[in-house]
Amino acid sequence: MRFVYLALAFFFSSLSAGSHASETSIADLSSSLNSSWVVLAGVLVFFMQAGFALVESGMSRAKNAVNVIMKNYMDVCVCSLIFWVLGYGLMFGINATGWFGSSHFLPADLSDWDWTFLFFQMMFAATTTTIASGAMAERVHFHAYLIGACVIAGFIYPVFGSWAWGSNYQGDGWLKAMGFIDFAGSTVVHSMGGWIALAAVIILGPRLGRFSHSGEARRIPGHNLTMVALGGFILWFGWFGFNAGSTVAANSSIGKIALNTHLAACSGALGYMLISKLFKQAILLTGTVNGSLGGLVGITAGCATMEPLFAMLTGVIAGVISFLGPKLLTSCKIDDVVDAVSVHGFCGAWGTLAAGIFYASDMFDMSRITVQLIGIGVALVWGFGIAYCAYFLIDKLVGMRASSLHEQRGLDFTEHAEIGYPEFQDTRALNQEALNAQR
Amino acid sequence: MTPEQKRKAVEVALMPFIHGQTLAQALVLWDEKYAHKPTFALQHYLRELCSDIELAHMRSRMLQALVAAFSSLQDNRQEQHNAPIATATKSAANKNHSSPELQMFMALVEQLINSAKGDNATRVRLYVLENIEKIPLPPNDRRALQSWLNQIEPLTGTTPTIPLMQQVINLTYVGLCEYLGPIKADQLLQQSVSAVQRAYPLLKVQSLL
Repeated sequence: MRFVYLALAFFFSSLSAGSHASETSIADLSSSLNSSWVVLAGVLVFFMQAGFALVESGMSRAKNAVNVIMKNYMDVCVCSLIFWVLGYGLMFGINATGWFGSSHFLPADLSDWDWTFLFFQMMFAATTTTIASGAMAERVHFHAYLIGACVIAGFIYPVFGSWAWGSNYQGDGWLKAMGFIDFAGSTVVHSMGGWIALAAVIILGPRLGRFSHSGEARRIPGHNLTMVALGGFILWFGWFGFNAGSTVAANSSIGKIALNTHLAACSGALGYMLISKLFKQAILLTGTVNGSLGGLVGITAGCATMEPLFAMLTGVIAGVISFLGPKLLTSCKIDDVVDAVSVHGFCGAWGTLAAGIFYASDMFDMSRITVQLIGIGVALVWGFGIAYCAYFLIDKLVGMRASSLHEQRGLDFTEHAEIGYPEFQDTRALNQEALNAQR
Repeated sequence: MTPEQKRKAVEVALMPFIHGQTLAQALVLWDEKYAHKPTFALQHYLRELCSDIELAHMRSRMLQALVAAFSSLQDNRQEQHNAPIATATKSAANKNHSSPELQMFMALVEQLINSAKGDNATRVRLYVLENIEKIPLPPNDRRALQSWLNQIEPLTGTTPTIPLMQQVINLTYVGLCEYLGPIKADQLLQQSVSAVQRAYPLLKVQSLL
């Protein structure tokens, strides 16, 4: 009998231990899956840098192609380091006031999940910075651009991010506390990048000869439309990670988020095509790609809270904005090489507003829309205002604008001592001795 | 261009805009203060002439008319000489014993300016003349450059440094960008460099860029 009791006691204690082990295994498995998904999503967002590099370089002239790619290559390097040092703490550290984080700078002892989260957010910081690089292509000094990139990743982006997304540890941002919706960053990332770009191009001024004395805008075509198209595809591909990864969990909502993202991109291209037809203008490849990108930017805020039909509507309107926005800027004599202000600034603002208007369970709620408008306005004032001051100072201290001699020679030559296409670029006017002296 | 030719050009250009006593006063102002000044002084002349509010709104059109009239004089002068600019400048420079590098520089600048053609060539020349005033230079060097650019005489008695020559060529390039656009400016720069390189095969034109 004693043996039976002992056997039963052993049996039930084994059952209990097994159950506990299963719960631990499920928790571990869930955590591992979440981490795997978020890291993969972060990798996809990283790959968007290649997309930006291709789009921006393709829309620039051949003599500046290398310089544009270098800006994209180096800003992810610089921004990642700065974000680790300073940005992460400002954005996601303990936020006692609702205005900025104040812990987790130079993080060295985080949990496994926090490392994952840091990696993912680092990619977002790099995206915000690189948005501005395209707008100011062909006339900005490389070193001045990188100084600006540090300011963006180390201050402008994370501070606003702390307001809109709040702390990862303790405390809420004041905008988030108001109910501001920006799921993956239509405003936090894209509009912010667009307003920073606007400040930069105003400080820099237009490229030589972009506008005639009579005010007529002259077209300066890019050198490689294939790169633009390929870049557009890569950005679209990476955006699945950008939006769906913002769940920061491998859950069942990812499918609808990815679907909304895709539908908005398709609709953005369609919106651009329709309005081009309405204005009896040619349907350009650059415009079509920008239409899709506008749709992607637009859906970023509400991809998790909209029904697919409204995701499409958001995309179509973003495509229209991507067509009209450049015309507005051109009429103001603002030279934006890749239309970053329109695609990211204007479409980001629209997408943030749309997230409030088309909120799935409660559409056209005026109080929610009001909060969205506040967030959009604050982002504009903060992003444009601080960037304008920063670029103004950078210009005074180290000089932002490349000289007219550098514009004549091409920034590939003057900033990097490289020729992008040595075998078939017209080098009749190339000062080979000066180029060799720089190497 | 002789002072008489320039005065006639001014009179013809201003006739559609001002008449009678006003035109006479404008010509007196030209004779007294601007007749012997370089072509770039047209802007200053008009600024002084149009200080009267009634004429201010016509200033840009008057400038265009003056530019066109001076261009026409310039075109007539070139037809009389009837030689490629590079060669004309080369032979003129030879007469004054300028160094080959200086001759090449003058040839390239003239080739660039004249490649703009018509009114735009005059506008580009005016642009370069105006902006040379902003370069810190010894007065004699500045006068020599302006005199050459005004096509009064070739550049002699001064040897611009390579950086200065690069700067003047870049000013010309910027002028082309402003009036013709950057795409056309790049094309004309490549073509002008090729043309001048053929005229000076033993020198490197690219060293001036």
